[in-house]
Amino acid sequence: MPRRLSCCVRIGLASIAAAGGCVVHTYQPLAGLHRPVVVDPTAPDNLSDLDLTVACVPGGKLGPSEAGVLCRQVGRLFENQGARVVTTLGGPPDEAPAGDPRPIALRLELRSRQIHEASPALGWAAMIASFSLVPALTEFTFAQDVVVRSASGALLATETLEGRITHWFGFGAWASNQLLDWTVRPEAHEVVGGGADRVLSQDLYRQLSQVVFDAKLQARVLAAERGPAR
Amino acid sequence: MTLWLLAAPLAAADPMPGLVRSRDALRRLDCERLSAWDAADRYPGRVPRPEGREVDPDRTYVVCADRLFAPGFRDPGAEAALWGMSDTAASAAAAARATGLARIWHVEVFHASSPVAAKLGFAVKAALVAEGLAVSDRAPRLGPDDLDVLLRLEPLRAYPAACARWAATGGLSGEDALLGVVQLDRRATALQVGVCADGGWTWLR
Repeated sequence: MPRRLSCCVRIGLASIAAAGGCVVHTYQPLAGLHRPVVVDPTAPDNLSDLDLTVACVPGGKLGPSEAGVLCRQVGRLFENQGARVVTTLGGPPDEAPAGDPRPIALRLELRSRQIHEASPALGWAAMIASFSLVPALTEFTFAQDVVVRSASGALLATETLEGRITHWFGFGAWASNQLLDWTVRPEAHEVVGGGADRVLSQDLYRQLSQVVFDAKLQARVLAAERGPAR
Repeated sequence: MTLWLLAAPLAAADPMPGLVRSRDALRRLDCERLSAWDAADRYPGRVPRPEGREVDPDRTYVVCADRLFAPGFRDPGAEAALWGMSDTAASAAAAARATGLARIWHVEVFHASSPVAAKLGFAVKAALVAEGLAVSDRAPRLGPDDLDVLLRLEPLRAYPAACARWAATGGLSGEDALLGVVQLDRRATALQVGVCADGGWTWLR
């Protein structure tokens, strides 16, 4: 006959099981992601003279399926700004954009890598010992490498966008933040839920929009310097 | 409860938004992740210098500094121009030096914001001096008729035309060169750099 578990052990196991669903995600912009941005990513005429190839190169933590999703979302971002976009997972695009070529053609290359990861064992021990009142923490820092080239391959812009993501596991962290979200924090500043993902996406899309817009101007300057083709 | 109270100060030290820090407060910080060596070099006395073989080579620090102005205090265009002012001035001066022109350099900054243009102009002149180039405070002028025509031109044509007029009117002699730092579009944060010498305009970047 198996021994019945004591009340405390049962509460502890239940707390640990519940901690798996009690996660608070937070995001902090680091280098590049917090630079000032002027261009409005929702304006439909920022890139109306641009053919853009978006290449999302799989590698590191970015698998082919994630790269495809990233490409579709980034492609839609620039289509909404008036660009004509084709996407690829690194190589040349499968098809050229339909219609006459636009005055400027650029290639945007995106690569992701993880530059730091931590999950202190002491935190997990404290979470278990406290029945998930004390949170456990995992964090990682990512870098998104952005390169923009002209149609001839000339480098027009390069940028590295870094951000830090933290996951707090535990009922204590989740409950206290959820309580603040319900009572004190305005909706735009809520921590629990998809707030971190939303803010990260906003920062990333704004920075990408600015980099591509600046690169487009740089391409125009280079074309003016070269003069008309003979 | 005791464990949570012990953990709370550790949470407060992290700049992440959470119980004690809002997302707005985080935006008032400039943060970056540095290796232990870089952090110790840039913040001596505040970050211990790693020593010995027992040091974890993967140890990094997230270092944060308060911004001078809260986000939104200044116009975004001005904020963007001043954010990268040191880099813009240094790269413009390096591009001028790379031309190899042994001239007296004049600087003109064309930016939507006059105060930003003045600050950038001063920074570029200081960077030119640091590159060992001769710099003049004189600003070459154009007549009202010339300005009327130039303002109607598309920017990429206006500056070469202005350069030709400076040479024709004596605003710039054969001993002068003008370094132009140009905001081609109000939505741009990167500034283009060109040089006017002997009546001809060349875009450097």
